[in-house]
Amino acid sequence: MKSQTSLLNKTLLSHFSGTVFWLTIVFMALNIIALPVSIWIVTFDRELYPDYTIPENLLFQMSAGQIIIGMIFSAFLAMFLLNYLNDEASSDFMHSLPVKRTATLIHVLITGVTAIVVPLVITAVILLAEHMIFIPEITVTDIGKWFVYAVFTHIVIFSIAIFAGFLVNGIFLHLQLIILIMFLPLAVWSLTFAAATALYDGISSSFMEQSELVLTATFPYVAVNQLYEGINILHSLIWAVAAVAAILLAFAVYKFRRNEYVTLNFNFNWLKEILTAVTTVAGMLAIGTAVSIFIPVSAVSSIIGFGVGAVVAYLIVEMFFQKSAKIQFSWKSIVCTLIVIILFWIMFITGWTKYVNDVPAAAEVDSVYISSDYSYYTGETLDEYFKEGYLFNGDKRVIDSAVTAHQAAVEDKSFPTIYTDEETGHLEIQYKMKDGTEMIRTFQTLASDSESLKLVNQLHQNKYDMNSDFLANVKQHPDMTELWLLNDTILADVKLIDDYQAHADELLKYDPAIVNNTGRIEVNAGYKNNYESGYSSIYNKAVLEQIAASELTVEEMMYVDQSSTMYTAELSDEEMNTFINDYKKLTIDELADEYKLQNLSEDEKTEMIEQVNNLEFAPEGNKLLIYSYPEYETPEEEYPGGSAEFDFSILAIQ
Amino acid sequence: MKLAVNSVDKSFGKKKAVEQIDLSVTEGTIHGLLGSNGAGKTTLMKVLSGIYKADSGTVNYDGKNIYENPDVKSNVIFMHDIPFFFKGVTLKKMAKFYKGMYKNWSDERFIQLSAHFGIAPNKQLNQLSKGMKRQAAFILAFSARPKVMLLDEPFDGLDPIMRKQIKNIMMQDIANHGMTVVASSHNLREMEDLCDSVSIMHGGKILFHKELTDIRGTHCKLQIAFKELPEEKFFTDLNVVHQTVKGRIITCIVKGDISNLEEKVTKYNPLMYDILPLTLEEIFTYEMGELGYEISNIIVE
Repeated sequence: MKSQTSLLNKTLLSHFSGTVFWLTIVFMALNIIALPVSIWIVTFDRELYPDYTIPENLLFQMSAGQIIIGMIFSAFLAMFLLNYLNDEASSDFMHSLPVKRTATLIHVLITGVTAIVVPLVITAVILLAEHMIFIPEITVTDIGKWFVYAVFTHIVIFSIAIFAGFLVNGIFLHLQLIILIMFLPLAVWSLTFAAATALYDGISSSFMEQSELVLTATFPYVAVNQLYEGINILHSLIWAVAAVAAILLAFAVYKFRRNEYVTLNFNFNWLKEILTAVTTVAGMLAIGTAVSIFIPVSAVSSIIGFGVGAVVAYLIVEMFFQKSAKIQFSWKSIVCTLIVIILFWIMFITGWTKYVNDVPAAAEVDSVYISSDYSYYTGETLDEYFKEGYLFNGDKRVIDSAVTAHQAAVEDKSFPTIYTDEETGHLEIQYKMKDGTEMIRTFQTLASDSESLKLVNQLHQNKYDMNSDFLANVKQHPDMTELWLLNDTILADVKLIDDYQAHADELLKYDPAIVNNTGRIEVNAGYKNNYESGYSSIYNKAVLEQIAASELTVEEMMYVDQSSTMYTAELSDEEMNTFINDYKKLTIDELADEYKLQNLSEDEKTEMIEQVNNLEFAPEGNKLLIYSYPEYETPEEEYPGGSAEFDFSILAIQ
Repeated sequence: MKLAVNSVDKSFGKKKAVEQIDLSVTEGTIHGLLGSNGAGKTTLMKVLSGIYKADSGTVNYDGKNIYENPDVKSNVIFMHDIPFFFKGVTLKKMAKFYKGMYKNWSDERFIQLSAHFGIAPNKQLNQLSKGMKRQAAFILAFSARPKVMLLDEPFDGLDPIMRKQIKNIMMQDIANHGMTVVASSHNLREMEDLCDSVSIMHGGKILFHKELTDIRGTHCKLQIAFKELPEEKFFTDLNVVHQTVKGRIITCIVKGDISNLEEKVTKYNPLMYDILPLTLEEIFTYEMGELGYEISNIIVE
């Protein structure tokens, strides 16, 4: 400070740099381990794996760890740099110095940004050296992009953490507030969704699709997700603006609040009240939902769970916010929390009740996916990787039936988590509306013979459900890297897709009850930045040829060799559909009694396995092989077990 | 530097910590800010040092406001009642920090004072005793050669010899460089032989502000014994403002022209008498009594 004209005070810079010096060294070391060292390890012994090719975006894919480390470091950096604000003595000392508050904060920011950038520059230089010496696939452009993105993500977190530092006094509180700013919206929404799933049937099973807004508001998620999904310019711009706003707000709070309330835990009491109330709601939902799921006795036990959860959560939150286990109660805080809890439940009950009872008018629906199976699909990638119509059917008759089934499911549904033996049905409905929106509902408390499931089964009784066939609908996509059949046992050539689709119509000739319910095989497709999974039919000629060309046998692929119990059934055409419905409803013993199934002896099993290995399937026939999944044990008499569908699979054989 | 405080208010929420403070401290003098715990002394000191911004009113040094004014602050050092040092730092490193902050810093003085107080420059300050820490704080403050020192309870934890030494150094700086000192304390006797002027605070307000030389020139204490107690005229003749009577011995505070007091006293044929200067406590007893405050409620020692 000898020179009054100097913009920067070297002593102050030196002081702040010294405060975070070793933290920065640790960050740099972790950076080097997370990126240059990890990449070197991954690409180390190329001669050992001559077929291994380095993915195009390896640097971005592998930088997730570095980005996470960097974001944690940035938060800690802000915490330690602003630690002088947390204690009255240090705050008084720093503010008695001949330096303006704004200048002090500028020095903090310069130190922080330097501590972020310098280790990243060093890491980038090491990566450049690796590029020049032994990993040419990592391009200079990639390194540049990674560097800019890493600086961006770290500075966003640093800016928000700096702002948080002006709201509380105490390094632990500062840490809590950073975590709350980053994750509270996501936590509250996730717990609200979980609570709704525990209390209502008819909630969408797709959490991610319902959570786009709140996930976009969670910067650590956005930062890591963009590494895989690609940079979203709009989201990045919004966060950049948020970072600038956070810094400006930090200056404003410092200028006008002046850190004069250093002896209080929160610089703004209203902030403490709001955070206490919202965090209590989150805790209440977490405990109440856990009670509802793990102690599924009745709705009353859930209500008690939420009540106890609210009290416990409030006490814990107060302990954290007051930095003491011996908490002081404030009527204002209690009343504020109670009001927020009451408002929350009013909105929760009215909102979710409307949500689960909402059935669209058929005229508003563009296409629909309806299934009594569990869905594995993600809506965003359907258009990209699949032909139009995959899973979704725009046929008016199907839409009408789906809406009717949906209405019936709304009327038949009951309280979830407390299941009765009859409630084994599952119904998944996804609408694509004419206005471009989507509507997804999942019902899990339906009886297997409920009206809605009958309607779904009727839809599948008429013909083979081509809309749900993975291979019949998947596109030959340039990003597809691999295609696996039968539980990842056969790595198929992508030309299988064309062959399958060429023979797909043959499936329409068979009994829909057989092809829709037996011989279903899992298909997995890997893409550069994605993964898709679905089901197709083993009865397609292209699949049979692929199996025949494989070194593995069907018994290994489909675990028939591990089956302890096998039955055969010979059914008339009229019986086939009823049998399939009963297979989903009755236990195996009941099914065996009802349809006089033949329990195979060991010799017969061996013979049958050979037949299966010879691909002697016959979807056009009336004979079925019903075989147990691996590790199936015959249940004791007093515990008859669930429906046969859970323990047994079916193949149509000659 | 001359300190001028005009109508300063400072509140925290609904609580008024200091209220309507007017104070003037002449350059090169020591001002004592006295008051019980919670009187508002520390808050006022923080306003004076520019740590807090006054809600209203002004704090000027030679006519310049101190809040967020590095030029003024570089000449003003505030020493907290509990000295603050960075974690794990040595006296030498702390001195380096002060040197970078205060433009009048003297390395020579720092070396002299470190040697004088016997604190090794490489010793970690947080490992020192309370008294040693305060000595270290004084070494740093004196080495910075400020024009104004604001001291909050400066002598807490110091032994009498160390107090004396520090007071001597302070006096030297006042004499040689015209340094101005404002020292807060709740201990009247400690400030007695140090201050040129004093203020007393209570409930966030300054109840009283006087130059001690003024008081000592116009007031004195008279202890006098009579064979028989004098009539009321004695008290009015001598302009007695406060008196206590024990048997035939009267102890009183006399105000006004005390140069011919002896002449007036002898007229009443006392058995014996003694004219003494007033202690701070006696001044306050009298002055605060006049203002309607009982001194025992304000200063507890």
